[in-house]
Amino acid sequence: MHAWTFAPPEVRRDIPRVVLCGREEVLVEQHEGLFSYETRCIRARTKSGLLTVTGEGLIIAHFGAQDMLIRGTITAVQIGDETI
Amino acid sequence: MKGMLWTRCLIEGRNAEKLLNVFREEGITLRRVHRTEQRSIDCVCDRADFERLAEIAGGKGFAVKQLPAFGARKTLQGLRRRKGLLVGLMVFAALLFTSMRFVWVVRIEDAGMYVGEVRSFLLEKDIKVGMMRSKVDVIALKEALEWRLPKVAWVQVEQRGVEVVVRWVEGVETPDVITPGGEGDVVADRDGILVRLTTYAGTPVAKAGDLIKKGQVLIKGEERSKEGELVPVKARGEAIARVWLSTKVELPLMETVSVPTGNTALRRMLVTPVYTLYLDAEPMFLTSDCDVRITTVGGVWLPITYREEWYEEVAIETQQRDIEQVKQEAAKAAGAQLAEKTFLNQDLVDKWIDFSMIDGDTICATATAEMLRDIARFVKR
Repeated sequence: MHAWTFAPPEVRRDIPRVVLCGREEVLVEQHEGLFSYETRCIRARTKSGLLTVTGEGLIIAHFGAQDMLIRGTITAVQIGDETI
Repeated sequence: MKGMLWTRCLIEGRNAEKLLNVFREEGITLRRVHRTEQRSIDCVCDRADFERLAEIAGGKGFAVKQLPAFGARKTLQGLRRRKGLLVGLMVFAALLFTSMRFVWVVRIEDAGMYVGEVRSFLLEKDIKVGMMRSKVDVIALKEALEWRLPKVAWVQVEQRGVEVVVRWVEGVETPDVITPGGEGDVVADRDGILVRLTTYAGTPVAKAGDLIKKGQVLIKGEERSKEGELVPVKARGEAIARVWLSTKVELPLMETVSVPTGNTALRRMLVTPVYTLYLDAEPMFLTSDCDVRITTVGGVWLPITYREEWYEEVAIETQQRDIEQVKQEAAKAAGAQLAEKTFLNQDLVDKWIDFSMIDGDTICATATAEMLRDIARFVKR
């Protein structure tokens, strides 16, 4: 794929797109599967590394082939070694 | 509709995350995934996917249990179990639907003492409680009521849900014609073009757009009575017309001026209260301008003055003024007079100034204002 295409970078490079809505919801697009699931921590595999969502009472409201919606009281979102 | 049917299930086994990833690879979408215990996960999947999900989970050594439904599905399942309640609800809905097709209330509003008459009319027309709503023809009923009761001011027949409502208002008879001040006509008190004629009493005999002359009858003081006779009345009304007011100012174009001839003379004198001593003879000029200088000689107690009269001979000539300047002065004077007449420009439509020449030596400026005025004036017969 060429650099001058109009597609957004997450589509061009197949990297995850993480959308945080307040402290209640995190939408993860283009994940590569669930690594671990606890009510205080959910980890998912992505092309950019392991995505870690930390919080209280976490549930996976939607778990699809490409996207995952996590709900609960979110305290941190970390991808690789960086905290978002 | 596939998305509307859910199945809630409990997956038990070690490392359920791996199983969830297998579901993902197989294209099975899960919802409301939450961990209930260390080794169990509660989730919701499409009902169509449940069998495949159970098969995959079983193949991987996981136990899958179908949990009771929730939400709308739970309600539907509950209704299925209580068939009597379901039938009852359906019967109730059918009865409600059927009952809405009938008239349950017939109401008469504002009929006053004629309620009984309206009610008997409705019974004659077979309008009663329990009849089908579709058989009520409100338009025909309204027309029939108007024919039956000619004193009616207005009738309204309408359906409001399961009600038939008849509103009947009795008409009020017009009072006898009152003519305080005697009979008479409304005439025009000046010339104009009629713009609007509003008649309060009497018969209008002019219409908007008519050219009206002063004294012309606008509203005739007579009306036709209920019996068809012509009754004399006091005509009343308002006649708004376009009228014109004008003022005229004339200014002479020629003016008389004195032109010095160059001849001058000085005449000196001593003036006392009883005698004047002339020191010079009177100059023999036909017309002259005179400049007088008086010097007090004696003071208050001796009233003697020295007087010098400087004469300058002039010739009287007539010359024409600048015509534009005369026009401006005449227009200004005519406009000022018009402003007094029109009283603060009330209802002024337009105004303009015309100029004319009289006998070649007088400029006449005519200022005209067009206004809307009530020209109606009552004239007693």
